[in-house]
Amino acid sequence: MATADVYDKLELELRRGVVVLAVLSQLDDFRYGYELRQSLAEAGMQIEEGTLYPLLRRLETQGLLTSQWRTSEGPPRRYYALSTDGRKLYQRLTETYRTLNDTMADLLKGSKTDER
Amino acid sequence: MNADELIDSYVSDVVGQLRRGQRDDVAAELRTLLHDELAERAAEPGADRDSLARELLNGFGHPNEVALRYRPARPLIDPVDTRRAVRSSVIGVAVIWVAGLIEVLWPPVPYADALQAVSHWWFNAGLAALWWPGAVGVAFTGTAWVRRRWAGRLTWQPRPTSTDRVNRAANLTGAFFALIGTALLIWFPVVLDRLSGGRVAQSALDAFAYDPDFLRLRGPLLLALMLTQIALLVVLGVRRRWQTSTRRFSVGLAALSAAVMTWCVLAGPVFTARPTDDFMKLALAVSALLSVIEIFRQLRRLRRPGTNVPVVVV
Repeated sequence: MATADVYDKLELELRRGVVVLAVLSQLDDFRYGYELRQSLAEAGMQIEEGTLYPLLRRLETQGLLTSQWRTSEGPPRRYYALSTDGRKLYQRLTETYRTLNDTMADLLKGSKTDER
Repeated sequence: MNADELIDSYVSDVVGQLRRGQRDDVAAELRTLLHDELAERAAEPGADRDSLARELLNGFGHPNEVALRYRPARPLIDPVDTRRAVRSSVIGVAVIWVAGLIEVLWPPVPYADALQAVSHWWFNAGLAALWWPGAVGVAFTGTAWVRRRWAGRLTWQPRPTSTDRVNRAANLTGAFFALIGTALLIWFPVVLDRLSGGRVAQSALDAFAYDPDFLRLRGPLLLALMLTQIALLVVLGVRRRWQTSTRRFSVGLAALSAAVMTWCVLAGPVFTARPTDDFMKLALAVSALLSVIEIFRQLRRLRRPGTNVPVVVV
């Protein structure tokens, strides 16, 4: 029997695999970190703030996001949106995810340990 | 410390570990985000803003971890090499320390001088040995750099298949020359004298005179081991292959040889003349080291991985 610890680690790894795609999916328009985290949480994708904010920076460094400081609503905030390259990559990643998802659905359907 | 000071201190610890050009930007962004998060948590009337700030920052992660998320670090040494690097460092330092201890404590020093000897050892071999982990670190860092730099070109290549076959001609030739070398070690002054027709100076001949104490026990023992090694070469040459028994015998012989050669180096003079004695001791020390390497080589061959696994028949 797997311990709770092992489960937590594996679940975290599973989530990590989709975090980038989840973030990219919400950045069609400019959004700032806190707002993005809220919208992801509302959609059921909880991402820790300590993970999300540095991730946005890394994605920007990789050229997938573009950012700008805006001061219109309250204190200055950094807003992020998909760059041109980011959009292309997002489409490719989405296709890959869908294929993977279908494959996994088939695999899990055939699994004898599936407790449905 | 109030909530704002806590956030400032936290942000400062995070950005302090980032690139200089990135610090102000990340600090401004992170500070705003943390204040937004705190404002949400402290929205309830009567909420303790300071303790909520501490809770928020604890959940965010240690500043070291957060800084790593902003700027993932590339390990200097490849993770696959970490164990090997640690093992090489520890073994190397241990060998240097032991050799240094032997040097200061052998021949045995009087009890009253032991503390001084150990102190002398620590400030010489003890501390000096720390260059070794540094050298190991640099070597593995260089290896990691080369692997990353030419990652595309460095494709895996299978090693040549390890066989038990032995080259008969090479082994028998080796045994022949080893026998000549051994004979020269015993009768070198005589051979030199004969070849020169008696024209070699007596002092040159004396340089190869063995110490009488060495000839009593250490010399004969060393000679016996050398002859056994030659016999093993001949046996391997005749059989044309290594067998488990010959490998095990070779391990035992190499271990015994390493021990006896170390003993010969430490127990006193081999030759009566200092220069030849120093040279011989250096040769014996190198041979002892080669014997230890041979032990590991043979043990590795004896223990081939994956040849014995528990199988469940279904």
